[in-house]
Order: sequence, then structure tokens, then C-alpha cells
Amino acid sequence: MKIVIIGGERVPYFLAKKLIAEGYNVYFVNKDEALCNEYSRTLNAVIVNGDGSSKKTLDEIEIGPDDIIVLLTERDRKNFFIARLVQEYYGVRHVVTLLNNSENEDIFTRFGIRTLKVTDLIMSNIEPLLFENQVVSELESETSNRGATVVRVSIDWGSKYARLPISRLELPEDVLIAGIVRKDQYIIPKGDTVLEPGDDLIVICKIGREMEVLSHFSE
Amino acid sequence: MVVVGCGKIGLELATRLSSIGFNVTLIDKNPESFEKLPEDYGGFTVIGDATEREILERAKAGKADLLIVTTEDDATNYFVSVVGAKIFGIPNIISLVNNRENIPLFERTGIKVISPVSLAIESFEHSILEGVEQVAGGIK
Repeated sequence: MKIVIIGGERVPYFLAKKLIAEGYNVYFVNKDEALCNEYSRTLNAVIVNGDGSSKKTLDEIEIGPDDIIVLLTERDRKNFFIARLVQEYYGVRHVVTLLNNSENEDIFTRFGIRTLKVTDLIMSNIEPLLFENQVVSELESETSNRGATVVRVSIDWGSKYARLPISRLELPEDVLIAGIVRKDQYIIPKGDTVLEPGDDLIVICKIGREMEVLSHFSE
Repeated sequence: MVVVGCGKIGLELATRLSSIGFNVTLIDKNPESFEKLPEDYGGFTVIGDATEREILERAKAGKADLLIVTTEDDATNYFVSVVGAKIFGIPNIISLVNNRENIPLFERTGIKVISPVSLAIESFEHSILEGVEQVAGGIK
């Protein structure tokens, strides 16, 4: 059984290194000649400089049904084409591909091709940040001409407030915690909400008292 | 009918089909390619990448009886053909296959194939054999 990685730039390098360390037979196929030359010096893998969507190139590798094919080109159509080629011509059962446009997932699934939904993955990671930004900018626009402002405070591991409920924070006058951003969640706090290390607090206070708030939390 | 790709083949085909009276929509991602269409072209045009669902939807692919794919990239042709058949349920798909070695993959997926190189070879062969028959007939 061998693992054939087609396309990609740096991801295949680190992927190949890990797989080789675990004792697998790794093949790397790429159109980029300079990249192939570099990897042929640095990786203990079989490097094939050629077009992975051409049957001639694939024939060189002698792919069999038990091999695992990993597709990392930038185009869904190309990954799909290569996936179908190896399925039809060599009877490959396991194909994993990078999926750039999530709406194409159905067509890959229909042909039994596993997908790595990279766009969705990035979105799910930045969505809470986008939400946090939206909340803060809306709060800022609501409060700014009314004498209040928004401050962001991070609760780090050393903070004496970590693991304390809001009601025991002894906040100064005119200071309100409007939200807690915790990993991918936005928490609307109550008095018994317990702070955790890594939390980001969205705090509203009177204009001019921002420093006071920041120093209160950094004590 | 939906025709994907307004290159030499797609352009001419869409023009002819439309002049015969078929309801044709031509898709190409490059708006300039439509400039070569004759003034009396009676079909529709959609600017965009046919590998995106939104573009096929805009071309009303769901209601099409026939999808004709004519770009110069086989991976694109294959992808659009499969999406047309499996997602939009278009009953008839014909695709241009630029590289002859890709023909079996298209055929195994149920896509009717037009291969310019194969057609040229067949035509050559046909007219050569015809010539041979005439010569042989003359000898008799």
C-alpha cells in the first residue's frame, strides 16, 4: 500500500514527512519542477514531476486498489477529475480531496470521495471573531455619542478573576460586562456566569474610564 | 439546450442550433467571447463559470433537455457534465473531449463524447478507404 499525494505546495511536504516517519511509502506528484527538485532532496519519497490529471503520469506510479490517493490541487474540478480517473482505471477505493467550494460536496460524496472542507473549516474558526467584531462595532456606534465606550479585556491564565463568577468581580461604578467570547461561543453573562482563562470580555464603561477598567482586570 | 463554452465550437454550435429554432443558452466566463456571436443570434447568454451551481441555475439548467460542454479543458468538461447529469438531472449530455486518452472516463460515466482528433482520424480513414475501393473497382 502506498500513499500518493497529488498537487499542493507546503502541505504535502509536512504530510509526507509525517507519513514517512510512520513507515509509509509516499509518492508525490506535482507539475512544479522547482518544487519537485527541492522535495527530491529533502523528502524520502518518490517524486514524480508531471501532470496528475494525465493518465500517462498516473500509469508511471502503478497505482493499485489498496493505495490511498490524497488530492491537494487548488481546483475542485481537477481534484474531481483525478479522483474519478484513479477510481475507474485502477479501482482505487480511498480518495481524500481538498474541497475548496463547499457546494460541490454532494458530487464528491456521490462518488465516494472523501472531502476536506477547508473553506468551512476556516469559516467556523473566524465566525465567532466576526460576530464579536460585529457586536463591538454595533455597541460602539450605539454608545459613543451617549458618553459610553466599549473596551475589550482578555482573561489570561494568571488572572485572579479566572474561575470567579461575575457577581464577585467587584466591578467599578458604571461598568458592565456585555458579553463573553469563549472559543466559538458568545455568552450573554449573568451574575453566576463563571469566567474562564482565555475568555475575552466585551465591557461597556463611561468614556474616560477605559484605563481604570483595564487596570482593574490586570491587577 | 445549454451550451457551455463560447470558443470556436461552442459559438458556432449555439448559433446554428438557435437559428434552427432551438431555445439555446450559451455560458462563458469571458464576456468578450460573446462579441463574436452574429447579430441575429436569438439565444440567451450567461456570463460566468459553469462549474459554479449559481451559473448553471441562471442558465436554467434544471429545465434543459440537453447539455453541450465545449471548453478546452477536459477536467472542466467532465465536472460540468457530471454536475449537469447528477445534480440538475439533465437527461442528455454531450461533451467535447480534447485529449483522446480521457474518452473512456467520460463514456463510463454515461457522457456522450465528441473527440475532434478521433473524428478527424475516422474521416481520414473513411475517405482513404473509399479511395482504395474506387481504385480497386477501377482495376476490376
